[in-house]
Amino acid sequence: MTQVDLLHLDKVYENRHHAVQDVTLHLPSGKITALLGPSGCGKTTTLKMIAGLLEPSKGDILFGGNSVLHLPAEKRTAVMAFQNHLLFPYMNVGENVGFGLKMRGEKKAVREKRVADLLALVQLTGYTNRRPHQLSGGQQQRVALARALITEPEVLLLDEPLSNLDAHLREEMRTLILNLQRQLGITTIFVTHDQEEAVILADQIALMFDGRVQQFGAPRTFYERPRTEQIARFFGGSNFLPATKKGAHFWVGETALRVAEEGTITRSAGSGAVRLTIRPEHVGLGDVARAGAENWLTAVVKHQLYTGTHTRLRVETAGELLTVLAPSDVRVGVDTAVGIHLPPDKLWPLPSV
Amino acid sequence: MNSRLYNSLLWSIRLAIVVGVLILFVPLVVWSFSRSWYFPNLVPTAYSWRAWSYIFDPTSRVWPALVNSFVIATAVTLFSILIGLPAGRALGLHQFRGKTLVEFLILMPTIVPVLAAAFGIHVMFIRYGLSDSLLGVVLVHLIPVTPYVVLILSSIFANYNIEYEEQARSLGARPWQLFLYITLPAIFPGLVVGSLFAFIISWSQYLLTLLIGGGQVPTLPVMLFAFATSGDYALTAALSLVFIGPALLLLLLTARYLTGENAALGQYVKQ
Repeated sequence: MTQVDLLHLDKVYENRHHAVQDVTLHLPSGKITALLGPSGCGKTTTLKMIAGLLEPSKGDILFGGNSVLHLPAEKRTAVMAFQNHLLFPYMNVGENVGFGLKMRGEKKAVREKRVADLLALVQLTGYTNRRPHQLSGGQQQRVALARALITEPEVLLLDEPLSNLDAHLREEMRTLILNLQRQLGITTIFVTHDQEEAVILADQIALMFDGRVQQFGAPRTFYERPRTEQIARFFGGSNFLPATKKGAHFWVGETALRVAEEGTITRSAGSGAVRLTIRPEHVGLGDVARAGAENWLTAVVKHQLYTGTHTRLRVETAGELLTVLAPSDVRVGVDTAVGIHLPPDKLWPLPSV
Repeated sequence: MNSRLYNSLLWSIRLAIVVGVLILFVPLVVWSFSRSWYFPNLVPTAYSWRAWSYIFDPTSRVWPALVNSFVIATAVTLFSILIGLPAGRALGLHQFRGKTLVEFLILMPTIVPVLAAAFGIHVMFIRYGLSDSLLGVVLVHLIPVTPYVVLILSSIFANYNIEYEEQARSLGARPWQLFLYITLPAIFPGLVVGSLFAFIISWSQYLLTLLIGGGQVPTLPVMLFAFATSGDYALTAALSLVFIGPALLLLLLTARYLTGENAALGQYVKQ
């Protein structure tokens, strides 16, 4: 069991590109953490620093409370699996999986036993003598995973583990990684640009933009309690209502809305302009007559799109367009007035930009 | 085109090439056995074993020369690989200030006649006691050889995916293991081709050997020139065959690295 702590990590490349800036994260033992962000945000650089393949310009990395900065990659108890599998082409599957043990000088009999165990774990028993190029993409990925796990590392680092796979293989691989991780209880950190992947796989997400961690927490918080509008937008948020805080209420036009939790907004905007956000799937739809009840607003339907699983509506209220994701059997005519409900516990204030 | 016709055409071309190359050796073989061969005779009028018995005579000067040539070419190959590996890696994998200048300087010996530089080097070698010695000859051979080895290895490294090394390090490979299990297999075809070039270029040096060796380091090309200018055609022809033999053998042994899938890049190419 190994907790990983990143303390004020900084990485400036030789070309002066400031890839990672002041990243501090405490990753609890035995959990899966996703480093999420658009390409070039510094997430892979961070992963390589944890692996020991890149040296931080500043800051410290602790495994189980001890700094590992002085340890080269080959001596760290963290193993990284790269995005492109990178199976060694001159070796067969068995030799690839057993590579880490061979480097440690383990005897051949011990290696063969462990290789067979690991191949069984990734459901590739009997593939020992195959060559990497004879395997499908999904099988290569599983061999790479077995190879990374054979030395029983304390920290498993995965760079975009699912990005090179087809949709159905992705599902399968996701389940495999989750099962293996639960089974082995290994502290896992993976890099991804896909927020859906991060949400499904990770216990917690560190969202990075421009080399900085923007928000760190459980997946749910990114949907319901984003820290900024940029974060909300990255997670598919599209509803941002300008509002003014006066006393206990947030005013949108002539209507006062109640918000259950205000986070840090009360301190930063005691009485001022904010933006209220709410997930499209949390907006309630009802008869226009209900407007006037608590947290109900009048709106006019502007667009309606049937997506098969849902009906996606664009409605206008107080001069702003909001997206509403309604059940698929909802049918409302365009230009009809409706009532929309913004439940206080789903409504979340953001600093105005 | 149907495949049978294509195949027979392909084999005809191959046969023509082999025959074309071998036919060049026919006069040499005939000359080496001739005793008298004068115009207008199409074939020699008398044959003899004289040339070959001279060459195979244990006391003949051919054997020390052959050994010299072999030792020099082998040493030159080893040294050029030792220089070419780090240089090729640096040029192939990294961008750095002044890289173009370094590349130009490395290419210089292939543009400027080496002989021009060799006279200056000769003076230096005399001062440091390197002239008239085997080591001096080896060092001067490195001038025409090294550019080719560096160029071949840098082109190999230019297509080498460094992430394989990072992956291996992360899996626990120490530096020497990295070289042995990852780098070496990846660059092996290039190493073979580079060694072949190095050996053959050194093997066929005449002027540099003569100049720096000062006649004290007899090699096959030096002997060959001596016999050729003395007008002993039978001996010259026999010695030519001895000279060509090892180079041709080496080429045949390494041919599979020069063609097809194995050519130069190996399998560690970038994805």
